Amino acid sequence: MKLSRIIGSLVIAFTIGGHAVAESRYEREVITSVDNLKNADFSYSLKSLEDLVDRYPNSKLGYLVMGDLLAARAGSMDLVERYADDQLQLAGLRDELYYRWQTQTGNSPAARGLVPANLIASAPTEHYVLAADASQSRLYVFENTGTSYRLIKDYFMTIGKEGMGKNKEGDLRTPEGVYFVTSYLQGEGLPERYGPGAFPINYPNEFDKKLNRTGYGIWIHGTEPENYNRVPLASDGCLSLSNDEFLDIQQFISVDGSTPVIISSGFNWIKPDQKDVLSQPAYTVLEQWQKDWESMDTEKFLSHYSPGQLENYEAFAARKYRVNKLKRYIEIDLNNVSIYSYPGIENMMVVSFDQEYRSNNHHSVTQKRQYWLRKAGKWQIIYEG
Amino acid sequence: MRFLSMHHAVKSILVVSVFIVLPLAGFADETDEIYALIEQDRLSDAMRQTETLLRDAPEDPALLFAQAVIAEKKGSNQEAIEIYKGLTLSHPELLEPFNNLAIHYARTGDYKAAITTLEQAMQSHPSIATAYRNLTAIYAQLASVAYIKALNSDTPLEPLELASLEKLDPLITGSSPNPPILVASVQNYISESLGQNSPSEDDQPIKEPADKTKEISAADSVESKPDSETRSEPEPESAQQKVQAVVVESAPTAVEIPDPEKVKKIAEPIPEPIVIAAVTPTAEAKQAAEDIAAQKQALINHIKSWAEAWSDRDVDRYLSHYSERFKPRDNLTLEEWKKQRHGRLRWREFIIVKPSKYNISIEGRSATVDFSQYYKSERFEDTIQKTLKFEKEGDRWLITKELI
Repeated sequence: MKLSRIIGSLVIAFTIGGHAVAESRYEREVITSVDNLKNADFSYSLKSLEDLVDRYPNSKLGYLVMGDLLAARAGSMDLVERYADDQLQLAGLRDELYYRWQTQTGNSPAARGLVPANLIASAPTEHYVLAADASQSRLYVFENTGTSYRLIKDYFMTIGKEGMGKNKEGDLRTPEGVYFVTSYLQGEGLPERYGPGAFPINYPNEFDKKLNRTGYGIWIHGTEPENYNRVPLASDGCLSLSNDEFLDIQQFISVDGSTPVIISSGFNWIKPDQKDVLSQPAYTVLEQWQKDWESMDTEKFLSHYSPGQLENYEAFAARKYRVNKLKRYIEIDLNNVSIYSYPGIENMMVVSFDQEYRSNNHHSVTQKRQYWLRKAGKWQIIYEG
Repeated sequence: MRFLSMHHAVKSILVVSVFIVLPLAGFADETDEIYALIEQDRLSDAMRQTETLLRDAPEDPALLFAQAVIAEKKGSNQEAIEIYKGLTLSHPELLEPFNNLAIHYARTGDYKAAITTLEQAMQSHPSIATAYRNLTAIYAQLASVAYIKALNSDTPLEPLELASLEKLDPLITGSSPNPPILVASVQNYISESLGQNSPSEDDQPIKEPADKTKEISAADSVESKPDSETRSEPEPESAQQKVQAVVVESAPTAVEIPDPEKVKKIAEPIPEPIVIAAVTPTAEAKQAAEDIAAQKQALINHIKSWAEAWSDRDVDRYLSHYSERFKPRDNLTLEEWKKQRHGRLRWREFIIVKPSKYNISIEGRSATVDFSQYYKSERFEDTIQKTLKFEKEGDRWLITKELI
């Protein structure tokens, strides 16, 4: 019912309260303007919205709420339909208001102190982890405190027009998974619609490639100048922020592969003290793999690898048997370990570390990434590189 | 739907009732006393006083109104409702009973009845209704501007049409009913503020000099659109002059000069009565009258043809009498409604529809026709009062709303 949508803004005003957590000034101002509606003082509400669009002339949301307020006053609740050439744009703005309101009213899990269960452990070099929750249209920045995670900032974000689950080039979807920022692209070299710049991520990652997923150029970027931000589903698959917020998030992003970007259709949010329940088994599996390698029991070591999933398993196994025969001892040290459980895939985790390998005839330091999958109660490596 | 339903929203809005307790005309001094007693919370005394006075003047609206207010304060809501209802029938020119009655409906959650009641109050005062419509039209225009910006809409902004009043309200002035209303097309400043979104000059049906755009007056509208082809009524020589003439001429011939003492006590929304003297019609006015007569005939013909198509159960012809902008009742979309009409018309073995007793008011390119509708089918027969609202599209009047 159209009416309920317009009244929606007013309803928000009645139920608003609690603590706002987001730092976004724009969002706070939008929601405060809606909040003013609860006082049912028409002139004041209108003034507050006029001030908002004065400060943010490209705020589509500000104009929409203003239109709703005036249309309600005019008794023409369905007036918006006349101008809704694009119903998706209208629905998108309503959704954006809903998402922003959820966050500002403290209804987001992060505001209640929860963290995504996918963040199991981060390397000391990973100062910040970006966690994108499509179900909230929100990009969170968590600080890695060494033992846990602390919410630093969060931003309204836009994902692909067709939603999540990127599979093919041009499907206008955003990939779900564990990614890392790879580089930075200057805004001057990009079309206007990307805003002040862009951070590409490593889609397709090793797992995507295993599944023959295609496409490229998934970035975190800004917005075209005519919009303050885009509606929730409006990119070609990228994560798009408002330009203000894109400039703000830059301080948390490194382009040396040490900024993970975990993108989920909707995280499972848990209390930070529940983290150990998830991280302990992961560490145990990894330590066992390490011990079995050091034991030079090649069969035991190979039992951590999935013959069906691993490419060239036969050659890999043969080499291990051959090499291990020449070893008198093997020592493995794992540094900068990070473990993220993979969003959208049950019982899969991505483990990254710097591996220091020492043996009687060899010494090397390698960066490694493994994808572990648990099948029939057993964790096995399905990709290593 | 993520947002809560309207039902919840409305429920959470506190119904704040501000009773209008200004005494109406009539037993002015005595009602003063009654209201003094009410103010002191001496409700029983107030009630007794009112009942005593009502014995001498059982029909007096001011006393009846006071009686309802007291009943309300004593918690006898049903009694108050009955009195207010009676007053809306016997004195439809009084706004206060409609207003307070609507509050009762709203309190019980019957918002539809509350809205209908307030709309009735407006209908009985065409001037207030027009002023209110103008106010809402301006808000709607501002809303449209905001929506265009919010949605990057290519839909052009429609020019703001405001109705200018040409004569004083007959209910208050006692002149003939249905004053002709002149439509003023106003090019509002807000369309300028749209910048590039503004429809191009060529799209504007009416061009006005920029320095006139912010004026909303009858005189301005007449001056600024002398060549307009879209206007359906010829303009009088000058509406403003005419209004002035009416006022000037009215003074010496006023039948009733109200007692200043009493005027003070008349309810605020009702201004001082002015009796308007007859104005000799000018040639232009005569032309205007002829034009309106032609428009009225066109509307009657349309309704007759509509009733015929209905009687013939020719659904397509029947539907051709409706505008594409027709708003069906019960929140149906136009498509849903058309489907429903197809069903309802075809299933009948026979239908006879006969309209009669038309009451027509035209405002520019909008018109409202009240008429009596006789309906008979194999299952059902009745006569109801129907209202059809029309908009002129091109040179055809088409139905945009149907009310019973």
